[in-house]
Amino acid sequence: MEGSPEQTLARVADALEGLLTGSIPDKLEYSGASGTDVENLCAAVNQLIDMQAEAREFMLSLSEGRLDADAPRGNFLISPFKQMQSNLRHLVWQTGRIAQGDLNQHVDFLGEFSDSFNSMIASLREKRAIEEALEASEKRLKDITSALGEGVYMLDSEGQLVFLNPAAERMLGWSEEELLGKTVHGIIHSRKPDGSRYPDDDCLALQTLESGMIVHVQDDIFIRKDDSVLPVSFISTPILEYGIVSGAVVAFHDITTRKNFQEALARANALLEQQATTDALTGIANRRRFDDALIKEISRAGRHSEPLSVVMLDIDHFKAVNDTYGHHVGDLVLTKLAQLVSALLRDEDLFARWGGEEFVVLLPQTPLAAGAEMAERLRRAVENDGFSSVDKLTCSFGVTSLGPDDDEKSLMERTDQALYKAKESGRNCVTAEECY
Amino acid sequence: MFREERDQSQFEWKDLGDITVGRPNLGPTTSVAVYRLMQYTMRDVLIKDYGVERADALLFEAGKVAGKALCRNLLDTKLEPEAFISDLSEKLIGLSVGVLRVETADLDKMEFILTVAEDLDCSGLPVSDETVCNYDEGFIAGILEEFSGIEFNVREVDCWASGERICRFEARAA
Repeated sequence: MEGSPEQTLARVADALEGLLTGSIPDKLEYSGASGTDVENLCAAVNQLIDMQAEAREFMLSLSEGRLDADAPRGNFLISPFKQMQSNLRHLVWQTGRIAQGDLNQHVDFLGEFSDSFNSMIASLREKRAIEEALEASEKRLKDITSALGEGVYMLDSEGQLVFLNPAAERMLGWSEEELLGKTVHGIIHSRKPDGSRYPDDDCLALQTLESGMIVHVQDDIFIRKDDSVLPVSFISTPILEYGIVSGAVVAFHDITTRKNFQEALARANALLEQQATTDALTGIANRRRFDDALIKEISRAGRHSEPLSVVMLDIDHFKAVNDTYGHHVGDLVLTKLAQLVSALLRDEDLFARWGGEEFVVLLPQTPLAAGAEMAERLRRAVENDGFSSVDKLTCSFGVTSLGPDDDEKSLMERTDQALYKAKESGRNCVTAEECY
Repeated sequence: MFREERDQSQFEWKDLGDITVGRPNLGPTTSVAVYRLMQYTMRDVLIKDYGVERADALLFEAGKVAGKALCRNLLDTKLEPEAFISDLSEKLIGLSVGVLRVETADLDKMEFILTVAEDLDCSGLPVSDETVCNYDEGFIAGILEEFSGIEFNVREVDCWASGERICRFEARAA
């Protein structure tokens, strides 16, 4: 800086005025005599300009959130802001700790900010305490429901799962985490026992949400995660809040064992029923089944004014077959005859062993003439069949039809009379007996 | 006991005595000025007899013994590192030692930048363009070492006496 001291002072004054108005003036250049007060003054002003420039840059960084900005040292203008920088960086660290779940953080000596921050922490602590209480409550619920051994799940008002106990997880193969928030009907209750789709509207568990009523279902199925079927009985109970359905609890029980037992029982009963109504030798119906069917058919024929015919047949000279060939061959003859006749009858006809070598055929919706024709077809079929076990086999046939005053006794007596007449007529023939 | 010759530290927490019994009327606290009167007169004599460098080292070493003892007796060393620092910060406020804050904490490298506001040793001192908290450096090093089992280097980079409003310490595992 060249010039008189007055000129130098004027530049110093300009520089200071610039600093006071917030600008960063150019530094003063001094080239006069050294060691003078003017030189010292210029050096001091230049230092002030440097400090102002540093302070501005540092404060700008802080204002833009760059908390890691390098803080100059030995600059008294910046000291309070370095303290603020320290405070803010500590808050960043504390916030990170809070994000990691550390709610023991506490902000000290930062006025209203401390109050606000500490209130937030207190609020978070309360929230955590509530969450922990809820978790504990949910754990207790799971423990209790697991101890019961029942599968339990809970739906919200939209049918979305909010709870699944460990027993249900085991039975269904799904974890609670996998099903949370999902509409479980379409997952575990997607089809009916017959394999058809299970519409939402038909789902009794979901209907609880609509009706607010308790629903019991004794026999249904849920679908496991591996797509296998789980036979269940369940009870769906609504959850009411202020009288409004807010969800439902479904408790279900694995009834596989019960179902298996029921099915085994049904099979056993069916076998017993079959054994009770089937002739053990020939496999056709026995007399008991014929008697039951006769009563029903007589009733039906009367109700609908339909004809009903009965054919009774007897193997001619069957005693001779047994005597000549032995009872074993006699049994074979009876079995073969049963197969031969059965093959010629309609599905609705009933062929039964009446006893010994006598058989009966019940012919619904068949008048006497048609019954006699059928008997004749059977007679010819027997006569023409080789019956390889014996030389020749023939049968005699008696036929009659239901009269208006007939009951099962009179009908069978007349059929027996017709058969007797066929025997009397030389056997191997058909005799039809009109009703009186 | 107190005046035995020794070549290693023998300090124990119980050496502080039973203050409740000993000061039934005046209580367990005193003024910061009195604390500083002792520290800075001690520093004065140490520098006079041993020089600045040696005096700094002695103050650091004394601080380290104090930090270790405090950690053993007042802090929960079973906490996770960051939780430990939070606990330490609360304890130091409770003891009116200063307001400890964490600027950065790198647990992988075990590097920390810590600040102490309203420091017992220096806040309010005349500005002398020096850092003077050698005792604090040792104090922090002793606490961290006792907690982690790792030796720490602690250096004060900002101090009230150097013209700042807070003291800033850089701590690194040695």
